[in-house]
Amino acid sequence: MSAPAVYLSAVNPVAVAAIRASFEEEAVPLHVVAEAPAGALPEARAAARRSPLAVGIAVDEQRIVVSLASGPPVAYLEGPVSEARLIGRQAARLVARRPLTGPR
Amino acid sequence: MLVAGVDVGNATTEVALARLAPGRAPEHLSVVRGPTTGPKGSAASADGVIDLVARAGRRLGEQPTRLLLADLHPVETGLRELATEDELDLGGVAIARPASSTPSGHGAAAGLLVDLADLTTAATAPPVIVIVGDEDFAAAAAALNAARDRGWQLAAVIATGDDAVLIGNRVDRTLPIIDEVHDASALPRGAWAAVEVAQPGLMLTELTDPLRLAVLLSLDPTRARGIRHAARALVGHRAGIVVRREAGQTVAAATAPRCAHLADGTVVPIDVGSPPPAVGLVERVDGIDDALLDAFWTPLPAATDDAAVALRLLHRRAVGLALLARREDRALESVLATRFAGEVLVVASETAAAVAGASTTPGAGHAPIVIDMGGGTVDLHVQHDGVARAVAAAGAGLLVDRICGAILGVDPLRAERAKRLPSVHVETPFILRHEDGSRSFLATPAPSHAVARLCLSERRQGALDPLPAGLTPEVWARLRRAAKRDVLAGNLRRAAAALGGLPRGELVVLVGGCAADPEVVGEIALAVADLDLAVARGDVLGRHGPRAAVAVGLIILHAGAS
Repeated sequence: MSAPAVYLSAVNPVAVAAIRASFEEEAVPLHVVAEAPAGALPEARAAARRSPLAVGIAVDEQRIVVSLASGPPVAYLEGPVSEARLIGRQAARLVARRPLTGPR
Repeated sequence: MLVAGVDVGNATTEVALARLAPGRAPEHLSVVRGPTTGPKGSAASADGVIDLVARAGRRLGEQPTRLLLADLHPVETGLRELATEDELDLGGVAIARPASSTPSGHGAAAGLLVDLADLTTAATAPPVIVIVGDEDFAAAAAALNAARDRGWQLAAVIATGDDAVLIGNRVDRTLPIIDEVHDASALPRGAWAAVEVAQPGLMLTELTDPLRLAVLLSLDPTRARGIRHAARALVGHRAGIVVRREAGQTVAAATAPRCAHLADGTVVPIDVGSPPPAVGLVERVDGIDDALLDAFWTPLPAATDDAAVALRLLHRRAVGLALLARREDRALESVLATRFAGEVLVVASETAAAVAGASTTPGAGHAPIVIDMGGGTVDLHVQHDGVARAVAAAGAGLLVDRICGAILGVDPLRAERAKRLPSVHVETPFILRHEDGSRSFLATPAPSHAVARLCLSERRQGALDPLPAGLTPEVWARLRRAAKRDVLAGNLRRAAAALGGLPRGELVVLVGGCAADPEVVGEIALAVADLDLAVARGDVLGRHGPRAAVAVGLIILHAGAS
């Protein structure tokens, strides 16, 4: 059985580092799948479905998408790649059940 | 003749229309309500009356020719936080209570406040508390490790960003690090300070002990008493910073306590430790020009089942205050007389009108006890052994709003919704926990900003309104009920005492906006349970519930007198 972790599908090293930092700060495990997603939304959804914590993240060239494993097939959180640290923090807080902070 | 009974409340204005004909009972036609515009009884409150009367007339296709008013006395409500005033005099120290959600390390430490950049020089003897500004966490951690290697004693770290764990993981996991200190730039460099981080789930213990705090700050132990306000202000928090001020740095003097002046010359401090006097005894309150008919105050309720929340509320030493002013002018009546194209009459007291309105409740008849709980006052009317007695006690729905707002950290308008609506905790995007501990599942995920927060739940629309307070729904529900009990049931007891008690085994009819709240009805029933009273909610004219009793009652009294 896979260890509990949020799955991140990305190859952008800057975004991956920022999201990793956010997850480390919130002490939430993150599993990085180094794949270049064709589209952030379907890839985030697929990552969420593989994640034992039922949350997935994908980073494409423009944006970061956080998806839940179930519910409507839309981004639960999203933002530009430049906000990787913030989006990563929000995703980690979502899993850690801490209130989200900063801009919505 | 078409007449309008007009009840200008502290929160809501209600207008009832009825047709009067000689020798016949009034034909009640409609009731409309809207927010009171301006203070009750003021010229500004006439705007809402004119609008509502016009609206009711338009619906009916005919405008009333006579306005019937009650004799009005406005209530002012407020909240006084004595701890905030204490904090103006912290005995030569300054405090910060950062909302760091993920601090690192644990324990208390003291040192000189220095910037990270200052550590590039040779080490100095005393330990330091390092302030990390906009630096990247990896660079900051490298600089801290290098400084340690050069002999700097790192006592603690204060960071502007959300980086405490990241820095701690790269430097020392036991080092107290407080992050998300957004005003770290304002901390006085070179000042001696103390920092504490409690273990997860625990509260500060060192900075909240005045003697221990004095030792950490290298203060003479005789100053421990002087810094008690600073120690108290940190109680119930997980992370705290205290900075010693240098001699000569002035602090604002604490304000003198506000007092209530009683008719017999007694002066009573308005404080959490001092109960409000009996109804009608307060004539004047410091800082308020109006002559008063009554004053009431009550502390924030105690959270009996959450130690941290209980301590934080207790140490705020906040009191909700309601003042019932004696209104000498007739501003509302004067403005209405000029703006309304008909007669304006003051018919009766609000209590008498409420009794008349309550008597239209099916089955109530002339109830011996009527309690009108509106925005400003709890009005009690008792008819017993052929004698009618009435009293109005300051403090009702609006004071509950104030207290709810103070607990939740929201404005009074939002507090009014929080008073009425159930709350939930959004545990995950799909799971809500309710006030009774039960859980329900959402078919569509809750919005991200609501997750892990206490939210107001609009059941009809399913909308979630996240609140800033870190309370569980179970704790909030008890605090909300306690606020209603303290203000409304507490004031009912004062009012009953002023009338010499309530007769046993009688019927009580509750009217007014507060009576629409089942929690209030429950609290009132509990408050008088020892008297074996039958507590019932009014249903004015059998169709308006407990509302509009005064507006309808004014019409009934006027019809009976004319």
